[in-house]
Amino acid sequence: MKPRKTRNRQTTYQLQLWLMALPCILLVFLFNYVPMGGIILAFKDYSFSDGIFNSAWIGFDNFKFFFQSGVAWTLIYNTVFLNFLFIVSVTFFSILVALFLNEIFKWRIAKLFQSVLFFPHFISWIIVGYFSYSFLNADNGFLNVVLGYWGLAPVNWYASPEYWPLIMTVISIWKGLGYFSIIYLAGMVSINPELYEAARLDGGTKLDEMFRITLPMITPLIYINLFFALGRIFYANFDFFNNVVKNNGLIMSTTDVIDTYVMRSILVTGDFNMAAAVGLFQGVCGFILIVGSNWLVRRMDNENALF
Amino acid sequence: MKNLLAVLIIITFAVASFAQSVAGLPTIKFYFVATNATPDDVTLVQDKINSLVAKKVGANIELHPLSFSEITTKIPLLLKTGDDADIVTVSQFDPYISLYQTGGLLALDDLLPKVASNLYKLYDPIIWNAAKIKGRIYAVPSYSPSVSYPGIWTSKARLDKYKFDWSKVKKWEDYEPYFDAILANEPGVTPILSTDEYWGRIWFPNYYGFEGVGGVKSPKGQDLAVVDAVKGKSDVFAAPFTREYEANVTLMRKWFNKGYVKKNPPTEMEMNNLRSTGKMAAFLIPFAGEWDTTGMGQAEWGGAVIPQGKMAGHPTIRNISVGTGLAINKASKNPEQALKFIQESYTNSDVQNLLAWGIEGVHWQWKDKSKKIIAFVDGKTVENTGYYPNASDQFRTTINKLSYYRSEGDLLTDQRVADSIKSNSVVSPIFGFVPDMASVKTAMANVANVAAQYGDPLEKGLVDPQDPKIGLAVFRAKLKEAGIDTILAELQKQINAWKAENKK
Amino acid sequence: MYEEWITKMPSSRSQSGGAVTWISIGVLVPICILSVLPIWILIISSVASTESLASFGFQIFPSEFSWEAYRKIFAQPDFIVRSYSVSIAVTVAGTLAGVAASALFAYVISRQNFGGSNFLSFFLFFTLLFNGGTLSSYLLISNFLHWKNNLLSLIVPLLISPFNVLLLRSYFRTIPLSLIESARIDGASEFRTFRSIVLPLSMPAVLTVGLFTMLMYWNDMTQALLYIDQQYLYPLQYLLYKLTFNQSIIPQSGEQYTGTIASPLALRMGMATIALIPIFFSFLAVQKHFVRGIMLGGIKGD
Repeated sequence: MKPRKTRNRQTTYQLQLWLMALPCILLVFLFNYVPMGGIILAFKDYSFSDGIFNSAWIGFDNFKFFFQSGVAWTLIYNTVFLNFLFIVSVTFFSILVALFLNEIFKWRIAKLFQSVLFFPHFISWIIVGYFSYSFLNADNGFLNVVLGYWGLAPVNWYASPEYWPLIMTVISIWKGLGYFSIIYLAGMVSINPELYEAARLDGGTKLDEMFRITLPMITPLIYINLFFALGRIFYANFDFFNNVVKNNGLIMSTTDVIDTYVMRSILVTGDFNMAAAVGLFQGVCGFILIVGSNWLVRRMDNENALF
Repeated sequence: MKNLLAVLIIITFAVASFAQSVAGLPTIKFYFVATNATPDDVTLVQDKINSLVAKKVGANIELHPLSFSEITTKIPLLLKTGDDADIVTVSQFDPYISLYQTGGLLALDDLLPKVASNLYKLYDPIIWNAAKIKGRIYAVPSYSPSVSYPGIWTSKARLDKYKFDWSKVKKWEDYEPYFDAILANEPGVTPILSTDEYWGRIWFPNYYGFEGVGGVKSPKGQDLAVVDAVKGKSDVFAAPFTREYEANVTLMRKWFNKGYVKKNPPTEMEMNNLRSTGKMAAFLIPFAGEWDTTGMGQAEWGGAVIPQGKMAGHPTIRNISVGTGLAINKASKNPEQALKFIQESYTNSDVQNLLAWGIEGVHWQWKDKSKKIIAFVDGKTVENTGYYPNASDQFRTTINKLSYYRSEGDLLTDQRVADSIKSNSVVSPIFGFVPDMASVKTAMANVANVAAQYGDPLEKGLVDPQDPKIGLAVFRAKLKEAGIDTILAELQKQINAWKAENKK
Repeated sequence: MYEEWITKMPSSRSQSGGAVTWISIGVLVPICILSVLPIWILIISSVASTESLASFGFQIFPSEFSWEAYRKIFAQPDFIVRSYSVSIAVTVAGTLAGVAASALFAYVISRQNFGGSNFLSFFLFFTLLFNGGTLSSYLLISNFLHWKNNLLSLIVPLLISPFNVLLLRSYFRTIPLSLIESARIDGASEFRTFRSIVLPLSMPAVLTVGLFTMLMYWNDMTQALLYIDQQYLYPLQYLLYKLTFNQSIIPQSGEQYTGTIASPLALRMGMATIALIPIFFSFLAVQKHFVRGIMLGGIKGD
């Protein structure tokens, strides 16, 4: 009698869970999966009169402009490399900041710091562009003025491609610090204080606490952030690059990314299918990367795999 | 009780007589661009227009003004998805070719003579031909002859201060004394205006008598594939390979080194700031014209008086292309009525001026009725007058002179344009030719990016043309790699075919 | 109501580590200054005069002040007020509905013994990688659903953010299994367990996600750009964007153009400042509930 009852109860619970997930499933299906049919446009020459399904199939034609450009490799490298720099440095610094905030959390001032750190997130990239220009420009930019005080020669930043990975990374950290440190802090704050008590009773130092308790408890969050970054590593943050780098040909060798190249092509040719094509490429690359890393993570640390 | 009933009935009739639409007629939706258009005022204008011509057209018009910020996104989307829209505007924000490529424009050839013969007769065949893509007409062009000269916009006060006579200038070097004077006497002021987008260059095809074909350029640049229009030749070539281009970028570099331009061009917003406070002195442009600059001076130059500083000896190249106009959505359910409405706009003075300026007494009043000059209603300005599209070109052509004028200056413009055309213009050797770039889109995309990376910095003087890594030689090599020759060949092929067809 | 299962106890972090505390403050203060400074400059620039902006650029304290930017923005105040209320309505509705749906879903996929958890996680994550493009979404929302000029188009498509959902999943997974088991023994349904145990214990996480969602809705402009034509339905960000954009188009309006011109730069800053105000306040409100972990009474030897 008992096994059947348990099995029925189990099924009830499973059903309840599916029911709870239903709203979200429907929303995602309708608004994300249904429009995915548009991906087919990557291979077509879309014309409204023919509609999506009857427009001419042109195979890989839409991909040609990108792969025959001679700079495809540079663009891919720039995109991936810069994104990698961004995510590694932002993660590192935001965990650090979250640890510090965690230390002083009992004081009201921690909440103030937390709020203040979040401010850069509110500033749109357009305004970040204005600020970075006023900071970096060679005519009367703040940075060159400061260098002058220290007796150093001014640099024409907007004409020196070699500095820009660093510049972009610094800006990225400044903008994302508040956002990500809140995520990690929320995790740290939820840690059962009893664990810390136990560690202290065992004679552990602060460093021990950090490495043995705090960090392991937020590891799942780190994994999620990294997975997301990995899946999107072939997509550059268009607003960021468009507003901070702008149309500056001189620094394009290190800052031109896939998305800005595609946007330029669309502006001149008016052909949006090119975006669909390259977008598909970016998605496929991200997909392979995710499936591969998920498999790796599953082997190492089953708990934290994405799926 | 009976009195009350009577009153109610009268009120109902009164309300009904002000009713918005003439009952029983379909509605056509008109999407156009407007600076200022509050919903209530739009309804007023719409109702007035319908009361005048709804029966004649056979449909009620529904006005949908779009702001400049939305127009680039919305109209192509409407056309591409066959959405609910009947008439759409063609403008510099949504060029004719781009809208055609959405596949959403209706061909008007058959409808025009049948349904809108007055409109059809308004233009010579040559103008209709210029609106043809692959042999069919897809838009009603707003034909308004104008002129474009290379030149300078700078404040008259400064010109007078340094006693610089802009009318004597024939070449770019002739401006140098003016710029030197500014550098010497006004520290903190940059002589030449530049932005991170279009401006800060002196490479304009029309300076050399060249005319751009095919729109081959970086997104924020000037045409690179040109014909030598002033010499009347229709051979297409790539300007960066010419001696003229080399001389041009070398000169710009020299000017950069002298300090005429900022080392790093600012954004559009920051440039606006600098220009309106006089910290950027001169704007070098390819489109000095004949129109009244009072408004521009107030809006952009902090109120300064700005003459149209045209260079001497550079004729304007006359060509016809559909820059502005009106087109009909392929998915429209009432195309005939839509075309009839367009005809009303172009041939009916009342309708045209209602669309362009609003209602008399509400949005404007007469300043000089005999000359057809209008002004804002007392106490109203650009910001709070409810209806001010500021884009009257869409609704008209200047040939039949139906439109009212905003100022005395505007009235004189037409005459000045006519004089200019007579005295200093050349007819383009490819007058009316419309290229089809679809087959070379790969090369176009690659050339655009090469031009953005190497060409724009060269043209703005940010790079030394002799630089071994990013100079002119490298730019030329990259252009070839990107396939500029393919583009030139295709353009030439199309031009030759077009010439043969038109027996020029 | 959840007191049956957990008890709130005052948090007791250690008293040790004075040095670490000072290091923390030492590092955080400069970083905070760097974060605050740009916002300060942004707000103060909105009241800087065109002249001072042109001559000196962005300053911490402008040499000259001017209210012109705000005068321009509020020239037609009924629009601003109207769009404020539209934005608030959309944000509140979207945040509540979005967080609810996301949290439910995240709870479901966080349950280890749920058969579909891997599949649904993948189902969700896949949408991050591939996108059908604006055209398909437009066809769906405008032609198929007919949500043009309907506030639903601003709310519904954005309800679910995969990032937020998976974040919540991670947070939910840290809840000790024993708690959930005990609720099960008491005969609670999955929903009850979620509502009464998991949710209260995850307040910091849910609040964080709520905050992110709220910010997303408040700042969103693309949905309005695509689907709203009617001015009275414009959300705030979009109205301000339109205002600034219009300013930068050459008016060419002849002699009647009266009034001083606000610096477009100051105008942009003013627009950003106005949009920020509600965010600050709601942020402070959320902060109040962002409290240190709730002590779990009655569960020992975990």
